[in-house]
Amino acid sequence: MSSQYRALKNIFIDSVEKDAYVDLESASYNYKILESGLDKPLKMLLVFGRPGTGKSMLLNKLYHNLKESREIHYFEAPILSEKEFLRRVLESISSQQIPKNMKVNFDGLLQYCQTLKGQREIVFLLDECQLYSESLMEKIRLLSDTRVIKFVITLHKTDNEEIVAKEHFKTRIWEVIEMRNANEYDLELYITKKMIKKGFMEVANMLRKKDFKYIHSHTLGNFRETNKYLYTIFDIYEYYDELEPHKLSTKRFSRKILEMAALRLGYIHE
Amino acid sequence: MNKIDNLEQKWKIYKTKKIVSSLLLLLIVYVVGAGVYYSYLKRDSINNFFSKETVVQNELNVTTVEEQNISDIKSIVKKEESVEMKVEELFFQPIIPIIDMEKERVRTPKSVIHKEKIPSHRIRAKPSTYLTAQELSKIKVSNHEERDTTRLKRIHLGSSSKNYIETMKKKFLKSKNSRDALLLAKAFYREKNYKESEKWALEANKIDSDLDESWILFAQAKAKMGKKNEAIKILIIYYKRTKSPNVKAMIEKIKIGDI
Repeated sequence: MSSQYRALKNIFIDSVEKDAYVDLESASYNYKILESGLDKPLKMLLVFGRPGTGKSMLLNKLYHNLKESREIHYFEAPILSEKEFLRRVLESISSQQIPKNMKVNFDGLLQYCQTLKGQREIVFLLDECQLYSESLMEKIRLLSDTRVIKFVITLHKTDNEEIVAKEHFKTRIWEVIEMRNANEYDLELYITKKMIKKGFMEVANMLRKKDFKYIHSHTLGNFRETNKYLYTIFDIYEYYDELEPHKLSTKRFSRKILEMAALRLGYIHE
Repeated sequence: MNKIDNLEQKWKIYKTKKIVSSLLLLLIVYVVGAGVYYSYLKRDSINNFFSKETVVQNELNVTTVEEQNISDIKSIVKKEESVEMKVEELFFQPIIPIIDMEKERVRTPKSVIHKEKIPSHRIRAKPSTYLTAQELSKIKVSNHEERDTTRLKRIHLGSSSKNYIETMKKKFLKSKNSRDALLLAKAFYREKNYKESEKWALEANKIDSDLDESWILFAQAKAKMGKKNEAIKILIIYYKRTKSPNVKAMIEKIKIGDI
């Protein structure tokens, strides 16, 4: 029989699946702003923050929640080729497959969008936009000017800020949502909810305030870092559970394992 | 799984180091705490060790008081509370550099000593200061014929009779002379009525704040009443202003308890 900790560690594998989303107070607030922003006559919405603050999760949740009710498309991975990007945009709008040997003419795409004005409002969710070239970002801007396509883009706070800072983007991005790392309270909720959601209430109850505090001191509330840390913790737990179970307490979370995981990840040193 | 064993070894080293560093920290805190406590207990001896610094500090304190333009004893007494905290230090420390008075006398020419003893601005003893024949007749003296100058002086200085004091009081009321007040202060001092002595020294000082003797007598009376610190403080302030060797000598006397 495999250890329960094997299943437990897998829930902390970093992913942007809908199920992985944990409803936190701060995240809910940002989600509401984003959702209401789509109903406003905005051309672009910007979600920015440091890596691991939940930007992709937010886009993913938005996509899954709205895909039935409105015309929304999610480009999870950045499309770096302009040719491919325009093809994907046209395919999404027209719901037609473009033959591989054909190239989408940008002017033609703009004219096509003009014809849809007042009839349709299409939302494109673009993740990791800091990887897009300036010329592609310029085309995105022009497409948003047609008022047929609305873009929600995510950017790393420190990267490509110059693109956002440019005047033409400043005037277009009307809603800016900044994502931040979780505080101690939010991090506790995040970990607990995630475990309870998958039926690990007993383990969740073993974690005490000071354990959450210790976790937060190393991950600084970054969700990606927290997932990595907890995965490592339960990986070590799994080992002891299978080979040396006498070393594990059933009442309290092991501080030793917390520290061992921190050592393994380089948060602390010998 | 060997990885976990290695990790556990690393953790043991980490934990040991952490415990050792915590113990070291505790030890440092304990040593520092004990040091502070010890130095608190031995404050006096440490103060002596750093006496030079304390002297400078005390000099500064005195200068500050001086700057406030204190001209008589009464105003100094009023300032008592503000400098009371420093009094203890003043008492223990040699505030005025100790000078061998004998040597100083040898080095200083006689004329200079004389000049210092009777400064020109000081009020000289006037004939009116002494008792008139009429006043003297009231004093009970066994042999009127023996009333020469020497005898008179002895009576004045040696008498402790109430009669003399009463007579002097009346005289003072008439003359309002600082010397009369001072004579009264001396008389009371001789009678060991230090409170009254202090009062009359203060009275004399009110009239003439440059009267060395009024300062000295005031301080002496204070010292006799057990207020040595106050006495020294007052004399230091006056000494800073006048540099009077008599005052300096008195400070030393009070300090060593030779009064």
